[in-house]
Amino acid sequence: MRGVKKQNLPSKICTVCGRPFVWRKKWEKVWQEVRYCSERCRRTRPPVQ
Amino acid sequence: MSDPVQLVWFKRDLRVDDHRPLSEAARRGPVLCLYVYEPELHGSEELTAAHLVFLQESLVCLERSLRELGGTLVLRRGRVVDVLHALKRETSFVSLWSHEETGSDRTYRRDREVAVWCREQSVPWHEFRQDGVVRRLSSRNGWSRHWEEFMRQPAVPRPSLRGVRGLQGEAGPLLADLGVPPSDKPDAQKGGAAAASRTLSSFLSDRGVNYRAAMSSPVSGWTGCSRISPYLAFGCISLRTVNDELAARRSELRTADADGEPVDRRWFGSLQSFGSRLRWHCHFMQKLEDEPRIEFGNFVRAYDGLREEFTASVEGRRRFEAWKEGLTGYPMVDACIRCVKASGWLNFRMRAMLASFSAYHLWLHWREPAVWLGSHFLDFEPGIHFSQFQMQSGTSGINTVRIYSPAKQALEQDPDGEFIRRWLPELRAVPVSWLSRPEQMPAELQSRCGCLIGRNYPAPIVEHAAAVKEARDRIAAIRRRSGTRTEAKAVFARHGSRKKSATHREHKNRQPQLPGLGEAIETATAAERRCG
Repeated sequence: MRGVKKQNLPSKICTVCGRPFVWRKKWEKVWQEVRYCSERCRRTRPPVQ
Repeated sequence: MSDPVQLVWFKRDLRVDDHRPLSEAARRGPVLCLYVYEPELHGSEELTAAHLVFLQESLVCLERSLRELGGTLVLRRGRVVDVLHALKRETSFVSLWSHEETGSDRTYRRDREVAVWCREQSVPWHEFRQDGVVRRLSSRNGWSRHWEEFMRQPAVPRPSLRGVRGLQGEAGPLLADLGVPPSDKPDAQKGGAAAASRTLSSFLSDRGVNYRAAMSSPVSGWTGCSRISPYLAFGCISLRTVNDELAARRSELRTADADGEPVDRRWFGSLQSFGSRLRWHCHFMQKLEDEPRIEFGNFVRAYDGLREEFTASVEGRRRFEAWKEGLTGYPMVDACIRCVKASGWLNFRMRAMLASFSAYHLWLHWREPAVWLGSHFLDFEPGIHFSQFQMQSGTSGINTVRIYSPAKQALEQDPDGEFIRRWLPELRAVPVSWLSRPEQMPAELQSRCGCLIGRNYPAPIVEHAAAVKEARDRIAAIRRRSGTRTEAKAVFARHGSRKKSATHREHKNRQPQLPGLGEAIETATAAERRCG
């Protein structure tokens, strides 16, 4: 038995847009650190003062 | 004929353990224990309803303990000299016993009135030290030895008492009906000696393990700080008892460690940090003891006139109101203000940030913000409070100017936005990346998360970078003057800590000293760590 059903994948809330997003294969090793749903959100995050 | 009555006046020492005036009085005869509810003090701006509730809880606990020891607590209302006068007629008490108090000007003036009354009536007033603060200290050199010496003396055991009965105002029945208004702080700590010892023991046995790391954040600090401060302020527990318990716990941990039992290493550093803070507690109070005027005026008078005019202006008033309401547009500041209003407590770092923000960002003179914030600290201790407020406002002259960035504090001390969201419901739907600076949210996001800046939550009341730059320049201009440096040296001689910390030495080796200030400069780290 391999894999997890798509509807059972873990999800997070994007810290920039506030929308939920779902686990992807390319994040399997860094899922703990993933904060943004997309490249766009990563780029539009507010500057740290 | 019965023995003459000894009168023990309870002030900020609402306990029976390690209470020397009580035990000394008890050795000499029947003891009448008194607490005075003073409208001029208890009804003043210094105290809020939460203080009175805490006081009442502490008195209930004290009354029970005194009764168990065979004594009685009498509660009277009025000016202390009037109360003493009446009691003298009723009981012919021969001596007055109390602790020395390093309090606000109100209590200082009241104590001088009492001293005059005692002289006129030929009633000796025996006052005892209750912590590391030394009365009529001749020099700050070697001050820490006084502290050590006092703490080394064994705690005074609770005495058995011969009470004086039949007086009007016996506290038992009265306490239920002190006329105390409901607390304005739903999340405040509960008063009393029993609560004090529970709080201390849970800290030393469990909560304190990560103290050193946990104290900086208002999230982890809520349980990771000792929370013993209101009990020290009301004297529900003595500083010496706290120090003794700490010493016992440290030796227990050392023994366990030496015996090869598993010990969490973090305890060692944490308890050392806690021990330092017990010293700093008295170090700061000593400043007010030595120079009571610092409750009202700058340590270094060269800073007089710096902020007064602006503070009184329309814009100054507007900023002060916004700060008090928690509506500055800086979420970390606003959350802290609302937290302290609801609970009477904040960790030290956040208190320092609030003071620094009012002084530098808002350019307000420290006096009004200090009085207001003090009235909301359940653990309000005038000596610590006013020295600290001056230090965080740059008017102490002997500390580096330290300006906190509320956004940076939010990112570092509340990375998940837990604290900000708890106290600012209007920001609950704001994604965490924007919580430190919600005004930067794109308009679309503002409307999507129901937080329109300027409508649901204010835009920042001042712009951070510009405000900080201007404040820094204005302080520096005064600091550079030779008159300021001369004064600062005098402040250091009178009040400065003689201890050079490791970080201080490091700092000194790296950076050239400001000319003329010499030893007077504390490193930012050392200054920041004061008084956790």
